Amino acid sequence: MKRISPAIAMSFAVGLLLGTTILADAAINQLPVQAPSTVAPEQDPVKALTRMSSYLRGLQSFEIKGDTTLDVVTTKGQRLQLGGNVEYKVRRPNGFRIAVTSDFMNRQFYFDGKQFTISAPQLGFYATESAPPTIREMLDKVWNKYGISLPLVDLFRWSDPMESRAEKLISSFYVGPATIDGVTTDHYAFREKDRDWEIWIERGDRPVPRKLAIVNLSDPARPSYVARLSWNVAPTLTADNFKFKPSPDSKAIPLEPLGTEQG
Amino acid sequence: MRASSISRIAMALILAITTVAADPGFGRGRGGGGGFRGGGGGGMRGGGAASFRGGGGGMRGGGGMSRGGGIRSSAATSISRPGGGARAAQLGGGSLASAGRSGQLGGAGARAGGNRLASNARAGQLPAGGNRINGGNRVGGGNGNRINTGDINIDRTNIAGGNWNGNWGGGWGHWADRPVAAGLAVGAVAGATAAAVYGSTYWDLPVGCPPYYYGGGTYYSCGGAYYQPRYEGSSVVYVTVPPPEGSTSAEAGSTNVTVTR
Repeated sequence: MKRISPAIAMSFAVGLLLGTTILADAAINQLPVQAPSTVAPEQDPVKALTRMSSYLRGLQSFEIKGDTTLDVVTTKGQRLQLGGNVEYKVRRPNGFRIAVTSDFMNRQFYFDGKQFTISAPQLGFYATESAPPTIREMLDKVWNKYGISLPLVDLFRWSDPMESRAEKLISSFYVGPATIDGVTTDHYAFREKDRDWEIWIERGDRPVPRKLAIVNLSDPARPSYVARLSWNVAPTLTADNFKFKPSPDSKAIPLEPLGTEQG
Repeated sequence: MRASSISRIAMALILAITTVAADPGFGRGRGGGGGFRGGGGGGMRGGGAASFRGGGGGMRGGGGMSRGGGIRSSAATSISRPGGGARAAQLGGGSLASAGRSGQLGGAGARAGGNRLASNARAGQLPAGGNRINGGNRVGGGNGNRINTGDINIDRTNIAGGNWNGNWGGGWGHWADRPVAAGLAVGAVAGATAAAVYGSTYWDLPVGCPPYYYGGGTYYSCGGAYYQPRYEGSSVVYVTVPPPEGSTSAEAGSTNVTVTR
């Protein structure tokens, strides 16, 4: 019995194949069954945001991968669309690694509870600064002191009390159900003074934003930013994920505070 | 039966397509390529003609000619915070220069920021003597005519031609480490004149500008100028600085530079 007879091997292979096929079928068949909700969609956009926020606030760690498009506007008013990716690895309250990747620019942001690092891996430059102990404080610091705004920073800020955001709303409405990457979501539209934005929130007991679109109304060309997000709400992340390790040939450079006029 | 229902569907489809095409809103091509908004207009919009050559070659203009592209703004990547442009305004005016990538040396060119992105550029053109020109003043965002605000290192011919108006703006650097298209990348060159003026900010170094390490800091040195890479926001820029050795010498003006590690 040292050798498995070809016949057995064959039938095993066939069985595997069949099994896979059946599984795949099941998966396909299951989707439409699962998707239409027995859950009634939340019609109130602000309530939907609040629900999403409290869900996000409850996540101890999460991982997001997103496809993004960013419009830039030429001096001639022509809009150009740049594609890219974002990847978030976050562990509350004090760790993240965010990577922004595109054909035009790569940046990585690290926060390990003590230090914040911005790195341009392709250019080989990074800058590290001491940071306050929490993600929220750290984000505020790099924004206020250095003018660094991370993409989709709302993901952290949404866990704030919604009132502040809601106050800025000029209008909001429920657009309707929408399917994003095969998942049923509810689509809401908001208008603020200088931006319109939309959000697609997964329906069911995992109300995460699956898509976000922001239109900058302060520019006549109305450039927009769109991100489609896929979520892992229970990733395994360790401190190592948030530690910046410079490659041997990369160099530390200064991070210029806002408002300094040094030459 | 079947065939007829299919043809009915086909018919409906054709109808739908025709309707869409006939819809004036659609035909106008809102999202379409067009987008050139009444040429000329104010300040920055009216640079030269845009020529998107696609290739990298478009830039050899003897260091002079702008192709008139340039980025003036972009979308915001979060709801909570304004887009690059709005924030940029806090950085103060000044000029962003770009070192040429096509290898032309000679013609220096600082670049006035474009419209609102332009305001991203920082003031900080320091004359050799250490007096700040425009230092600390925030140049109001918006008009972008800031080629004359302290860009003393600009090559005169460029000033005369006004070629640099509106090209790149500070904000460009938020989204790209390199120009998107030749038409957007204006081949300004960091050259000899830059050496005399500290604090000029460039998006890129002259080709082949070698690194120079001193006192634990990173610099680049070529054409008589020293450049220090820095992060401004999330953009990497290269700022002309006095020779690193000079920062401890008695040379006037050199103390304006803080070398941070």
